[in-house]
Amino acid sequence: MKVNFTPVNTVQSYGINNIEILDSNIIYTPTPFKNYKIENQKECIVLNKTDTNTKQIISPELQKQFLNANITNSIVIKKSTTAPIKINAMFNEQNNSLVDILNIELQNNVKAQIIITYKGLPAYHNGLIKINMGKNSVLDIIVYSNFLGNNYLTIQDTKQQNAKINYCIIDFAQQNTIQNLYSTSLGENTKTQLDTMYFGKENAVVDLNYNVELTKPKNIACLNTIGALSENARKHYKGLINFIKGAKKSEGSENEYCIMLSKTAKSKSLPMLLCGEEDVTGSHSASAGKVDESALFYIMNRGINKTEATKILVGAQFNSITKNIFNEDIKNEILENIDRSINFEN
Amino acid sequence: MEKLLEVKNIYASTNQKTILKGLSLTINKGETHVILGPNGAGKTTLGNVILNNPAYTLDKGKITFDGHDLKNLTTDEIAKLGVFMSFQLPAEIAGISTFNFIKTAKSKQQKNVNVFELKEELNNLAKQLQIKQEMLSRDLNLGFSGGEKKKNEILQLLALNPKLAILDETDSGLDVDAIKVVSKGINLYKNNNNAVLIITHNAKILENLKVDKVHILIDGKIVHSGDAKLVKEIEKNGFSAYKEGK
Amino acid sequence: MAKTKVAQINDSLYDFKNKDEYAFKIEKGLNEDIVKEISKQKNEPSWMLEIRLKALQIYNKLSLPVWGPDLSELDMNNIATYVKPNTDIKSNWKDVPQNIKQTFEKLGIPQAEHKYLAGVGAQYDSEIVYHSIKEDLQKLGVIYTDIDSAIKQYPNLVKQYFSKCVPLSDHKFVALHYAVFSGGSFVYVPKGVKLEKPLQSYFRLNSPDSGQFEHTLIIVEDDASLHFIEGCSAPKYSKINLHAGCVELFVKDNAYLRYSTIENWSKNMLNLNTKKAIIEKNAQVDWVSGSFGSKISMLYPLSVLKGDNSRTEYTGISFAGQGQNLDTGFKVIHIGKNTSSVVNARSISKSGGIATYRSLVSVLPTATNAKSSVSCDGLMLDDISRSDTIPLNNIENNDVVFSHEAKVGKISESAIFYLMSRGLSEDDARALIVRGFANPISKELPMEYAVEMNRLINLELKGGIG
Repeated sequence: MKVNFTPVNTVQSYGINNIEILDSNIIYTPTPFKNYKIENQKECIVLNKTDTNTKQIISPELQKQFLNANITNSIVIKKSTTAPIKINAMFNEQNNSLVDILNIELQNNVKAQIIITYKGLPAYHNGLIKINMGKNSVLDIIVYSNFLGNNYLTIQDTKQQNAKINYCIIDFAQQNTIQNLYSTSLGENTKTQLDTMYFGKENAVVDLNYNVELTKPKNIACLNTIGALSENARKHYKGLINFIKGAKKSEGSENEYCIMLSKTAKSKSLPMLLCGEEDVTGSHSASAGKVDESALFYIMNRGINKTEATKILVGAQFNSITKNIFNEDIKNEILENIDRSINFEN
Repeated sequence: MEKLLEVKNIYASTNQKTILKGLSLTINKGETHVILGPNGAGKTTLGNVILNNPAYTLDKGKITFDGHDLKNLTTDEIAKLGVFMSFQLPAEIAGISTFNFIKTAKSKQQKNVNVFELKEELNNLAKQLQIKQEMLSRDLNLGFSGGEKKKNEILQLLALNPKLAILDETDSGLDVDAIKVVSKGINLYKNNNNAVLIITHNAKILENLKVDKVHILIDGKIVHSGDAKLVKEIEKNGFSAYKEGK
Repeated sequence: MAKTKVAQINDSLYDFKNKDEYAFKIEKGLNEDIVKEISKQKNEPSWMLEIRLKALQIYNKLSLPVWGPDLSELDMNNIATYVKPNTDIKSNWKDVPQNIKQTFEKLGIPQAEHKYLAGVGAQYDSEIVYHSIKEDLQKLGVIYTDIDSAIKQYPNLVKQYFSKCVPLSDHKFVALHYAVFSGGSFVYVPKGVKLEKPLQSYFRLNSPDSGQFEHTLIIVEDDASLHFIEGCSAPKYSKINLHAGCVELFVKDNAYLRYSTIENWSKNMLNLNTKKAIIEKNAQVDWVSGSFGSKISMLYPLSVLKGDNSRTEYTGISFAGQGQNLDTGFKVIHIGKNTSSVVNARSISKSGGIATYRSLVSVLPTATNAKSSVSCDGLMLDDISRSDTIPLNNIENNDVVFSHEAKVGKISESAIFYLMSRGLSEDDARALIVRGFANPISKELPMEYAVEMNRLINLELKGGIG
């Protein structure tokens, strides 16, 4: 199956666009899923009817699978939430294939927080999250995945004037982690903060395809992707910030940092800036490589062994994202996971 | 007394906010004026409006310099008439050396600039301002410390020798020695035919200068004017006496 | 790509019907006979003809690249007519567009040079200069001649290197190039010879209309050093609107090569150039590039850091004005250990021009301790132009220090205000900032080129180049 065709053409032989992944495990008619819980949704309307139409898709095969989704929810948030809405999918032997569609709508002036988690025993997940942000609305959303299996995530957001959305997407990838995010604005003065963290192990393939459009004046976007790759993991990062003519005084910045913990890890990145409007500020930076040797030496000089020192440095890098996680439990769980993931002799 | 700068009851705004609300000021040749005021009073706005910075609009009133109405003139035209502003935060321009920049600016005033004479003059001035000579060949303000930038502004002031020098917060961020050097530069510049307008919220720089008039700027207006003694008073008591109209 | 059928004939070919019935009857696309004729006219050895024919086969099989600018306006059918030797398409001074003629004056280029650069006459002045340079070089054992002569005078040397750097199958326009190439420089610098003065391609005797499919082959032996300058700032005009050149650079152990280019093809040209350097142990190749002209440009010099400790630096600027689509960038492949690459690419877009930066930094698993730093900057002068950055980074060895940063935006308003407050007009302030932006490139060029480049920038800003 070929995934994630980025809107900008690149030379096919570079192997970063529309790449082929193996063992994609698509199950076209998944069995009913019983371990899906939604909490704290009292103030919201939860409907069953959902819309799966998105501007970008990961692949036609996965899109087709949405027709037979086993969980569909449409949440309309009319009042600001007092506690985060928690959506939790727990995988076990009887519930190990999940195709879920989530439509989220924030009405004007609403502030909300949502935490979505996908965890448990080995499983398969193909999810679609489609978000509509009303005027002046603010959404903090965490999507945290930690299970052995293929994890496909398609996200799309549309923001009205003054809407702000803060994403925190975290994935401890063990097989294929494929993400496709399309973000756009219909009004001025919007803000999109995308913090992504991934940790690829063994033979994981992490393919991230982000497309953020700045369409109207004073749209701001900030993409911050930090990840680590160990063993034979490989990653393809495609991050596009697209300044469309008319987006005067918009700002877009993109930062991508990949820590490569093994000699066989592979990192490909394509941070793109397309600009059709002069009165903007666009910037991006990308870097990849091993942990800073001089920093490692400094820490080890204080009596700390190499693995511990590496953990500290990797954690420090991830800190720029983890410090913004608004839920203590999730935060601690993630920090523990980072800890566990770096527990090997380098 | 020959009038050099006349500001008549101006209202000016930026970012859709009115900052100057009826400010008037007259500066004659040979004079040194000081404008003191708390932060946000409109001090930087005044300098920018005189030089017609497009980010600001003059809503009402008139500004005349050396007999010319500045209303529809562009920034460079005003500069060529003899107005110079020393910036609080000078822009960093990559790709042109300080020396070449001053040479270019000078060539806008006079047709033929003798490169060797200019080099000598600038090296001389640099020495007096305790600026390292190599700064002259570095890119304009690029990577300069706050103090280096401010001294560079004074260097330009002395090299370009305008009729009116507006010094916008020239002393902010400078240590004691740097302030002394800057004052020295101002004194070098000053004579009976030109004038200086110092805009500041901190009186330290005025210690070594001969000040003729002091104005208190609060909420976009000059609420009180006096002589040099006013400086000591503000140092001692602050601005509170002048806020909310006394 | 299938051979062109007779049904797809372009009307203008009928003009040649009487003179060239043979060509008309067979195929309208490039065919063997034309290639054979080129080789015959040049009196080439059979091994060269073999290369040309092989390239022709490859050319016919490959399709146009689709990942870059739209090349559909290129009329491939007419290439055949244009590459024929003794082609009837000779430039006439009166045919050169008026604005091009004016540009020569604005750039301060003397009369004789105008005609030369317009591909009309021979450059008499430079012939004399060229001869005297040649004598000095001969004493050092340096070979500097045109490629046609080199094939005859130094066949073994040429055969050893020709097409070994850029393979025939690299892409369609390389295949085309190898089939029909004509003219170009051949430079050989023997071991240990360090040339102080740069060699300029401009000095070679050129016949009119050539330069379209030039092949430049440069070999710098161990411990030698060379600075080669190609092109010039004057607009190169030609009725034939395709330039598919090729540059092969072999830089051996401990050697140094600086390859500078200022390209200013006239605004009807499609400039599809392929340049590549293979860099051996401890050697270094610096590329300095200024791209101003042409309607469409696709230019991605490639450095292969083959030897341990090899290094490469790229400093380039492209200025895309009205109607231009300049798709340029740089490619580097790190293979040896302890290699390093530094890229400083800038682009300016104005009046609807499109400037695209497209690059590849690839660190292969063998490239332990590689260092790479890339910085690209796009300056937009209005809101109808485009500046796109599409940099691909492929890191396959974790023992690497790699960083990439890019910025795009317009000239800072506070910088303009600052300069205007010192008496510069708004136009002068912009020009100064833009020249400052181009400064990292102009300071790498020899003085007269830097001066010309600055003049070019000024002209571009005022919208005055043909």
